[in-house]
Amino acid sequence: MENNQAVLPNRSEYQNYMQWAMVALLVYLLICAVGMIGGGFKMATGGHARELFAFASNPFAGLVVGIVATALIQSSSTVTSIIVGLVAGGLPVELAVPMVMGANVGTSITNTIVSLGHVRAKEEFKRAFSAATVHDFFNLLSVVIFLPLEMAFGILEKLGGWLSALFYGSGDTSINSFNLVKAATAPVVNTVKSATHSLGDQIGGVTLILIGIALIFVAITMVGKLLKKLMVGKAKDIMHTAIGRGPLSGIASGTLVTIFVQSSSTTTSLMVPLAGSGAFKLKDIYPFTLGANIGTCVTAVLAATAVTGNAAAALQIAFIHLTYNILGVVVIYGIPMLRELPVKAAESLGATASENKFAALAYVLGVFFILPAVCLGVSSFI
Amino acid sequence: MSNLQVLSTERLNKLIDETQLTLQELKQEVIRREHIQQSHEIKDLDHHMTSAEFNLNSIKNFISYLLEESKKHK
Repeated sequence: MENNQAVLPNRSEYQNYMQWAMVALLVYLLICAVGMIGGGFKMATGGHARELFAFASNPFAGLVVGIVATALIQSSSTVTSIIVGLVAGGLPVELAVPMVMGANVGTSITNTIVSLGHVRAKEEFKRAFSAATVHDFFNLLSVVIFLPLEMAFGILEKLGGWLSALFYGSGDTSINSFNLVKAATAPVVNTVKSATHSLGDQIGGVTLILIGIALIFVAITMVGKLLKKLMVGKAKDIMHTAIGRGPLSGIASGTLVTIFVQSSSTTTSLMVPLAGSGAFKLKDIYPFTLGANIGTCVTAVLAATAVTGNAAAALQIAFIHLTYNILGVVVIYGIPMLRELPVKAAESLGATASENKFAALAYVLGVFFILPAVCLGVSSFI
Repeated sequence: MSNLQVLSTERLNKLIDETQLTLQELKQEVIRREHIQQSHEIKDLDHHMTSAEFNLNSIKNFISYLLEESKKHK
């Protein structure tokens, strides 16, 4: 009996090590996959990426691509990692910026769908739906503010370029001189690249992109599942610490929990039942969801450090995603008048949807599918 | 309080101070209870983690609820 008790913790410890080893392997695969997408895109387009993505030269079209792709895949980390890979393969950064903004909007569909599960209890649904849609409204407001600014002045592109130059600037201290991650992933990426290259430039390139996308999807999904198990205790500690400590602490804890579970959808969806039960009010949830926006950028930054091809541009778009989300929090949450807009909109929508559940359905379909389709249609005529 | 007019200003000020203190204590107690409730909910985070996943059943249940509701109203 004593022996069994001594063996049990060891077994669980061993399982724990194995799960962490699996996480490391999956992160490695994720980085390799982004490299494959970059290589495949370069191979397939032969330097004509701009022409291929001419349809997205209109920023609204790029935005719609980001929204719909993320809403369908249910992971902004996957979509932004794919975008990083495409930029490394030659997709111009200015075309990728609206796509990244769209990915932010698209990812908020997950917690909205999770909130639909509370539909049978009126008050609970009202709270849950408001908690879910506050994220949507924040992200939509962020697009409304920053997309026109980006189109007019290219602020995010400049900021991202400046941050990327810190790492890819000339001199021995830049990550161009020696990149351990790139060196570690190169054998896998090059092996798959040479295997697909035998199919010809175009078919081989497209195959490489598809392998990369599939790998990213699998890696991010499995990492998310594993980290949920491994980090639940840590997430509890972080959230306990944040209770009653104000909005900055909420933002920081949302960021940390998202980094630990590698998914903003998980973090924001986690808030839905907490709000539904009535324990957390919208004002408690709101800063936490903003932190999730920041925390989710880590995946793409990590992936961008190891890509080949146009690596500086890949890191630039990853930093654009990060600065966009940080600036969104600083501007919208920092200005009291703007801060209350997503809360009021979410409360009002929650009240309407709890009275008329068809309004909730119309909202989900309208914001994530119909409105983007209309925008795409209109933008094609501009 | 029907005898307000007969109370001295000093007494009224004292009552205001006492009421404000009581109000503050009540608010603090409400906040303390809210925090306890939040801590309690966080203890169930493992359960919330599993229920907070994208699930086609949520959509299915939602649609069937809408259908039930629309039938009721016909």
